[in-house]
Amino acid sequence: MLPDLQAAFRAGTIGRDGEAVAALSAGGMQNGHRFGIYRNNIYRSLAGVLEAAFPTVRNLVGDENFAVLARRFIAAHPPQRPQLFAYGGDFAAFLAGFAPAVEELPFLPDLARVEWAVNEAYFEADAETLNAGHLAGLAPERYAGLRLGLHPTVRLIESDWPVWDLWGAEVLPSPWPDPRPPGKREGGQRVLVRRPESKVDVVMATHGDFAFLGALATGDTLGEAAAVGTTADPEFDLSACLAGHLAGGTFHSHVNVDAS
Amino acid sequence: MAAGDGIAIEHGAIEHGTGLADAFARDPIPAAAGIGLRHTHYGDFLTGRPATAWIEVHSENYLCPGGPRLATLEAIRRHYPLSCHGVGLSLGSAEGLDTDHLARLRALFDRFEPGLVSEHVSWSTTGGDYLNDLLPLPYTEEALDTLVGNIGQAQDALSRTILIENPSSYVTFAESALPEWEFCVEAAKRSGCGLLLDVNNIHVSAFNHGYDAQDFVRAIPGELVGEIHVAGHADTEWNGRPVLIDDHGSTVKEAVWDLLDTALARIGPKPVLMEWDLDLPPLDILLGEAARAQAALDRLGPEPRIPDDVA
Repeated sequence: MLPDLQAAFRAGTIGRDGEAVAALSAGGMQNGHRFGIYRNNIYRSLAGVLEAAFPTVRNLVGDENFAVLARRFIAAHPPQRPQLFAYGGDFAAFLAGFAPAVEELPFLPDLARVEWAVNEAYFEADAETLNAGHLAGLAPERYAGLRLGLHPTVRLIESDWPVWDLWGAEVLPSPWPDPRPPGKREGGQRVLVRRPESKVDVVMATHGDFAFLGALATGDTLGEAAAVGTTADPEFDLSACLAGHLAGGTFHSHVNVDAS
Repeated sequence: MAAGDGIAIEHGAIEHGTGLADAFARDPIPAAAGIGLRHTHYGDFLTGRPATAWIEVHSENYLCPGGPRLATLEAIRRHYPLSCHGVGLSLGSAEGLDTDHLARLRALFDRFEPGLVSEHVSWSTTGGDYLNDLLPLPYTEEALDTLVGNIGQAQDALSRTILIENPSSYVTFAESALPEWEFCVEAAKRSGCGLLLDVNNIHVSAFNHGYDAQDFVRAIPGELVGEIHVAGHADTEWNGRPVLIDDHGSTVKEAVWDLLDTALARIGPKPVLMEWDLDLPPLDILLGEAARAQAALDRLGPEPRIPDDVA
């Protein structure tokens, strides 16, 4: 029956189950010695998707190790929909659970999160960004009540590791600093990813800036978010930060202002 | 400070991504040579106007919400009739079709108005997992019922007649009751869809399974065919035995050009696509292959096609 045949094909390809292939052959599959062509097509094509989405992870672990990681990931997390631009969203979590990788390169999951954010930003819905001109007519006393929405392509990633430095690296920095004691933030970096037009920006954010954007993302007003930014970082400079994000396209053009 | 008492700042911004939604007419695909448009050649199409009568893309590459890929296709689409060739619908799946996927395809087609929409006589999805290859069906009544039902559902959801492509394959099944050509033709007749005749796939499968490619071509009613594909394949070995692998990674082999001539002589002029998906060459190479397909079409001349009973 067709459902059984298709389930056996899945087991024999993605599942690498030799018994399933033997059962298919026993059930009348001819030229079963060629079954591996299908397994090969599936694994190679999906590994190619992961290579394209996670080029820095691949650079830093090397081609051979990446091939092993890809093979294990594909077996455990085959695509759930036929759109390969959306394949790989679970890769960072998979890496975090793969002890041999994180023991040696503990930053890998966070680096993969940055690369996935870049991938998502690239394919995310287009939208107009807010620029300084859009706010030109707003009375100064109303700024505190502004609710600035983040552009749909914006992604915010916080890491204990210098992931902004590592992103795009060809080789592992040498000497690679020893893993810091758990919980220590020195050396960690915060990354803002956005695609205001056709090009994806990967920007390092200060602690205050990152907290400020996070507060805006939850719906805080500009005044509330500025307070959050200052709490996180006493040197947080709201006007410089705002000017930078208006110029850089961090905000969505649709803005609400609370009545004063 | 409830959101409800806010006011919107008006600045006359235009929403992206919708402005040209109604701009494309459903240009028919001419009975001429076209090429597959792949990312590698975006630059050639954005900076010039390569001489091809039409282009074909893989539908699934453009189901993203936004971004440069869609914007690029929109820019190129203005200058060429477009065919959308699907690789992910899994028309042969026993578990039926993914309705979310159908809805996304519908939105894509509504936006870009392809002149042709096609898919494959194969399957890719089982147990909710998408296996990313065009996997073979047994040619049984059960599989035919599944395929015909799924094609019907797709054509309803898309409000279009689609074409289904004969696959290349590496294994077959003893339970198959119909030869591949009969299975494809029956599926088309019962569902009301058309055929995309891939002569490279015919050649590959004929070699791999030991049948005569001419038998396949002779069995195809010309009026069902809406498009023809040509592509390269790898002549290689697997487990020490010879096999042809349909990798779309090279120029078209002479035997496949010959089969194209045979098919065109039998069924008359049709749109012919030159496909290349792996290790893409400079665009000129691809256009050279398409020119050879065009020459085959041009050789047909005004003579009537060869009737079925003479071939």
